[in-house]
Amino acid sequence: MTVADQNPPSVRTGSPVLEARGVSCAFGQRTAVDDVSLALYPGTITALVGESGSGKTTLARLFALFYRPSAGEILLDGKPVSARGRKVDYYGQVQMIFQDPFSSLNSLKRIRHVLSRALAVHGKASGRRETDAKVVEFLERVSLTPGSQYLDKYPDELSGGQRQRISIARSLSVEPRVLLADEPTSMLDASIRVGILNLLRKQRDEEGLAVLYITHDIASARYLADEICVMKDGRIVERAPTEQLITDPQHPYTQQLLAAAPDPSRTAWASNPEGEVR
Amino acid sequence: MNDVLLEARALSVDYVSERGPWVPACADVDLTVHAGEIVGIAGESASGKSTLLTALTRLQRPPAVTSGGSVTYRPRGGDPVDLVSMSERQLSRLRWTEMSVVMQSAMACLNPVTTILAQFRDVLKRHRPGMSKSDRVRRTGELLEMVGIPADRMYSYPHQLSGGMRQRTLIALALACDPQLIVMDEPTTAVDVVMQRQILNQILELQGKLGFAVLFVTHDLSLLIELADRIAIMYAGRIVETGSARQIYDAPRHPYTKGLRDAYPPLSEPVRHLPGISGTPPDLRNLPIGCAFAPRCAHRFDRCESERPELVVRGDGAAACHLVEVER
Ligand SMILES: Nc1ncnc2c1ncn2[C@@H]1O[C@H](COP(=O)(O)OP(=O)(O)OP(=O)(O)O)[C@@H](O)[C@H]1O
Ligand SMILES: Nc1ncnc2c1ncn2[C@@H]1O[C@H](COP(=O)(O)OP(=O)(O)OP(=O)(O)O)[C@@H](O)[C@H]1O
Ligand SMILES: [Mg+2]
Ligand SMILES: [Mg+2]
Repeated sequence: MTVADQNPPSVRTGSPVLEARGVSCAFGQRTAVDDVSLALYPGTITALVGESGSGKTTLARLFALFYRPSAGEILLDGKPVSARGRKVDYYGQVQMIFQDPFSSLNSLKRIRHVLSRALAVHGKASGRRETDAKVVEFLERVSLTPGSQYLDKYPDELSGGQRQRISIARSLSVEPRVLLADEPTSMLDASIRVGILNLLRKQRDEEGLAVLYITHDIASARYLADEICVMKDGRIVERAPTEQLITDPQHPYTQQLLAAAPDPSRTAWASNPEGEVR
Repeated sequence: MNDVLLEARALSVDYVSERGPWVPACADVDLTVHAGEIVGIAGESASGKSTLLTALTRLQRPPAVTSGGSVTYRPRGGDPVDLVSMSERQLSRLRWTEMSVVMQSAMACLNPVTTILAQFRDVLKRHRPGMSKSDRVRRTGELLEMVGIPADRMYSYPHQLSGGMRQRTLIALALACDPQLIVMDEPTTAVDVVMQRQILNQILELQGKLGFAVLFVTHDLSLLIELADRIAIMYAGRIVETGSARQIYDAPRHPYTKGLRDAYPPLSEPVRHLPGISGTPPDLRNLPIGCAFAPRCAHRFDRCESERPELVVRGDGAAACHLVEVER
């Protein structure tokens, strides 16, 4: 039994769409994920925070079937996912945004190709006109405006934050039921970041999207997530509804994490909270 | 503290293209870094921050072209040199020992086919030729531990490290040859706050001891406000405001800066919906005649649409906004 099982957060509704049951994953001698159970629910955003190297990316990759767990299993709609099943069907439902936008986009392909291929593979658009229109729509949703201007660009012609937004647009355009987002906004300025967070929220509320939101930015986890899981040394050491975890952290590492988090409203020099432009 | 270490004057950088108009990614940028100073750059995604850093350090590659301005650097015990006109050979003498750079694509920057130790060894061998083999191994372990990575990880390959570990490895490498200037582009995007704090303290401690200067880009509030002596805010290829960390957060002068500051979700106050800055980011190839921020600005007036505001110095900061000029 892990901590996660003992504290069922009140936010859970219905049955999970994607679930890890007692999964472990080791690289040689090193155990990266150690007997973790975590369920993702429709219309629910679960944040995963924790130490660098604690296994967050590895857990997301287990969910995305990039690694095979050495123990435990991954279930989609309550059914174990078979390693031999059709990957295309799976990725039509479960999409991942990778941590590093500099190695996750094919630098030889134009943005039009990157996005329209995802749409075509998953049967979300057909014909050049319809596809281009849809690609532009998703580019503009992530503040890449005017969207048409990006179609013929290569990833190398884009800034870090622009690439990150391409990844987000690509994943969302497939209209998945589950989004595994590994530090999806780490290279975005605060204003564009909050725009993306609002977009994820909207997908949650309107489409019932389930999101695993991996971040080191606790304030954004609080803003976005319904519940927060804290990972350390390959295990989930604490899991609670967002406000409960923020106001009443139980595990010493969670307490440390909160104490270290920046909060300008808490610092002495934030003497002009209205911050009028003068 | 008053010695100018790096000074850019009217620096402009374009991305040249055959397929369409050029992208003016940096326009008329003035930036000064004093010896031992920590300068932070923040600003909108795609506003030219990485372009600026690569132009300053001459790491830019085509199609980027420095179309105007100068970058003056003062090496240890030497006369100032102009980096823009320097040859690659002269430059290579400055790398690592005078200035080192951690790029935004850090995670993709490590050589995938050699161990971490081999990559430290290459740099140390070239720039610390007197060092013995065992000293190099010891130094590598020491540097890794400085950024919270166990020394035995030096035998790992990059893909065996987590995202944050790879970033920290590059920070350690940047510190390896005691440079005078460390330039970092979003160095901790994948590092948790506890570790960030540790790195921050480590850098500050070393900085106090060795007195190097740091120029860094970040979206991270903690890094900016706790590390930077001075902050520059970029929008649409230009610096639109500079000031002390305190000034920028207490009393931002440029409406973009204020919008940016107000878009950080709080940790202790009640959560409410944050709209972000309304409107859409500017198209660099098609900028308005006046202020690039005007179309999104709630305070705009006629002049903002017809005349681009220059950076105007006020106290220990500066802002490029007609409102600031009107103040007087
Ligand atoms: N392919 C691999 N081969 C060997 N070890 C690996 C591999 N991938 C990850 N690891 C190790 O597994 C552990 C967990 O890594 P993971 O990438 O999941 O961490 P993380 O929580 O995502 O960290 P970060 O916040 O730094 O991205 C680390 O010790 C890492 O070095
Ligand atoms: N090789 C290139 N060719 C054409 N345009 C480019 C190229 N590289 C960057 N750009 C453009 O130059 C502008 C500035 O890019 P830069 O990478 O400097 O932004 P940035 O401020 O670092 O953004 P981020 O915070 O997202 O990393 C962007 O509009 C980008 O699309
Ligand atoms: Mg990771
Ligand atoms: Mg950049």
